[in-house]
Amino acid sequence: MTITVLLLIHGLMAMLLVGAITHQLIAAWRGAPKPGARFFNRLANVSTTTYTNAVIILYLCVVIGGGIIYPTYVIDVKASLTDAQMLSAIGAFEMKEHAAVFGLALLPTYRYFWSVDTSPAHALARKLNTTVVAAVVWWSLGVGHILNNIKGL
Amino acid sequence: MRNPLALGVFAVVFAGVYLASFINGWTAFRFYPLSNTFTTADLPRTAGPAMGWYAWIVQGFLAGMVASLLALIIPTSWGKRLGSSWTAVGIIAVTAFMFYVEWHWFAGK
Repeated sequence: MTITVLLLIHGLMAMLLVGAITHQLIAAWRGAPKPGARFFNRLANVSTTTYTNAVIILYLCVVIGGGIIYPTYVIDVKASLTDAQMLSAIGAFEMKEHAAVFGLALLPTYRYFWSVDTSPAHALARKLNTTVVAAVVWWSLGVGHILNNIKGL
Repeated sequence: MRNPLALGVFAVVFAGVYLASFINGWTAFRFYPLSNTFTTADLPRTAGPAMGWYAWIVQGFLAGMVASLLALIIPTSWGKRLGSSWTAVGIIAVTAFMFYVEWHWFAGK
């Protein structure tokens, strides 16, 4: 029961994280805000810097939550996937656990280019850092969701 | 810390040492979820599956911290020559290598 609640919180925080990093990613690549009532313009017209701390805090919470429920995955889910010979599902999860750590390692640099030195000279670095973090978050959410559909906790 | 070179070195060394630890089995300690035990000993198979993930993170983090402290010695002009995008490129390279290493799960080998 506790693991189910933790998994639910982990998933909900991951959803919030995906929303925040996606807003920031689109706005970062789009450049200056453009007026308009269209959905895509509104999606991109956000204050990008205000998302930085939220992304970092959510990322840390999701990784810590994932670290807490990981042993249950190893015992309950991974064993079942191994028995069922679902090797690609196991591999996708292994990639997720590694990628999550790489994203974690990148967070200080990500924060630096969004909060400390926001000069235009670092625009490309800002975009690339945000893209990597966003890719990690999207991959992790997708794999986590699919694995939960295959064999939930 | 407000030195982008040191932060970048931290990121790339953290990720690189983590991946090297995973590939080479450098695991300072393991977690055995069946008995809820952290130990430096390599327990027999009857102890159930062992997890090295926590150790790889700690090892990568510590290596990243040491490397970033060493990077503080490097003159800032050298860092400026590198530009500011190399950290993300380095992480992308480590990630690409990780995908290559883990691809066997999908190749059916």
